Amino acid sequence: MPGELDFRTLRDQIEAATFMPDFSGLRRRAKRVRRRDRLAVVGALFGTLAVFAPVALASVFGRPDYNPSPVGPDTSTIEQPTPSPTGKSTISVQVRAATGALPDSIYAAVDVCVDNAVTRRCNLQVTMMHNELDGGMTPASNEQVTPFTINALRDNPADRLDDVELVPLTPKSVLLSGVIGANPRINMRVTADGATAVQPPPDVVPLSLGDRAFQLDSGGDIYGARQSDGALSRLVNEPLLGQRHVVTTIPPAQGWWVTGTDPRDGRPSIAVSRDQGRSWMITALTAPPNELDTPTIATFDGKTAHAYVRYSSGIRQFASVDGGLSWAEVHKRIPLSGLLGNEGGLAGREFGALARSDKSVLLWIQDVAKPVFLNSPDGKTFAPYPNGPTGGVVAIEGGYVTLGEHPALSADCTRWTPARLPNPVQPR
Amino acid sequence: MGDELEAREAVRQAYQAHYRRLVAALYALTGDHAEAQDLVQEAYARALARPRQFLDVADPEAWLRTVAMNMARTRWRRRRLFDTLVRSGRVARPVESIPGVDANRVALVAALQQLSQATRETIVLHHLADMSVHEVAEALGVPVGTVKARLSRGRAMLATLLSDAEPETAPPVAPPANPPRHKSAPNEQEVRDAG
Repeated sequence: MPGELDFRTLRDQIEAATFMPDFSGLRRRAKRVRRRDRLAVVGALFGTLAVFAPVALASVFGRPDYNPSPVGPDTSTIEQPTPSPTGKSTISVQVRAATGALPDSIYAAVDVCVDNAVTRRCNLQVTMMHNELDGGMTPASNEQVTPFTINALRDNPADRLDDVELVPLTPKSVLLSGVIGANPRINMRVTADGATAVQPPPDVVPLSLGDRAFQLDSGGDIYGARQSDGALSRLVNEPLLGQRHVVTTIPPAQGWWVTGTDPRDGRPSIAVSRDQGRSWMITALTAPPNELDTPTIATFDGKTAHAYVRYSSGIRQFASVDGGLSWAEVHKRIPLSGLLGNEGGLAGREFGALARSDKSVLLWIQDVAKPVFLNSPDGKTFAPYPNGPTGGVVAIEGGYVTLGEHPALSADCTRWTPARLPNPVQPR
Repeated sequence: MGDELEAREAVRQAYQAHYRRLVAALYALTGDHAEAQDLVQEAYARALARPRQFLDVADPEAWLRTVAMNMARTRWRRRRLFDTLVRSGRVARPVESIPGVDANRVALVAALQQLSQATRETIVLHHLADMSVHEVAEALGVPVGTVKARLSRGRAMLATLLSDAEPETAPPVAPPANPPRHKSAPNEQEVRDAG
């Protein structure tokens, strides 16, 4: 009978239906495993030699011409990058993620990378971000402790790090996370005292208005962070959605917003909780199942909200005027030019939506060199916006930050001022 | 040499004792009977490739299951994009039927595939591998409370998914009685205690 969770019968039936191959077949397979293991060892040896032999030769036949500028809180303790055999190294400083609040509490996850002919070595660090034109909006006390953490997330400076996220937890801590290769997401809680690994909280603690929601893995469980003491909590109730994604850019006072898919049919869905996850209002949008990701939400005041759902053939938009309880489709085409307008052109690109106080909305889509921006005065009718900044944009409380190598700050997402990153530390 | 023979014999005994049970767990985890068998056979092959190390293992079934699950996770990561398309409904990947397994059990396995990986692993370890909540917590490296929450939520989602699938003739999505044009009515989720 459907609806019955009879795991025992399931197991019995599968066991009965499973044929056991002859054990000798496993012996042949084991030989292949041994051969593969030996090849892996040989490959690792050659790889090690390929990396270290040029470095050893360089140290024997002369030092490279490399003289990096001193940076960081204490240059005597900072390890300098490994010189390349050719002596040519380039340093890049890139903001991978940002969160916090304008004017003086902006946290940035900054990747400082040194490229040479052999390797790319990087050092991810969490630091405060300042407004360059104002000479820095952050108190001098913060200057002394930043970066809060260096060499974060990577075990090895050469590791490739993807999906870097920085989300607020409490007024004094942020959650830094990222993915290395095919490994599970790594989560670190960063405070002024440094970074510590975050494990799923085992217990439910009472949460109240203003406490924040967060996730430790994309699509995974949702947890709460109590603002008063930083305690983390399981939720007594999570929204029944697939591919759950907590929208962390909306202030918690405007509710907890979670996007995902309806587990029954895959339709894009939005859940809102105004009691810190004890109950959820879930709405499935009148749209076909998601093709590329869950809806992207933009709201300025928590009442008027916009949801954008990307498909291979374009973006569909929905609007809510009651804080996400009901949604109506906006039947206006969002113009996409060039490759973005082709079938499948939106796949695999970063995408963001930002609502301003004047009810206008800015969309951005990462293109080859820089993002493409689309602006709408009412959040519905979009037109190309050539005056966008140079990098992807994230909303923070009270303003916006651009990511990339030329970070900038803005209170209105229209006028931008360059951001300053104090004391980036080079990779070891 | 004697140790080597003894170790191979230990693998052979583990093969006779646990093979089918491991395949059942991996099938529930992957939704693919052939892949489940391949994963379990690969786990045994790895045990056979280093038989002496296998002799030192306290719980051979748990060791083999862990190896097979780790390989399953690696395969999931390699085909993350494909799985995203499957979950979105853009690519159909129906759970195959197996001779001797009735349609309701196949529906249960199909419903399991719609849960998140963490929740699915928790349910499989607890309900198909007969591990206690504490053993599951230790195996997955998460607190006991998290395991309980995942079990509670996972069973609720499975019940929802299976009850939705019950009327064979019903449309996939039941529209609201008087649906507003291009508008969806919200449904309030019941409050329940997962603790």
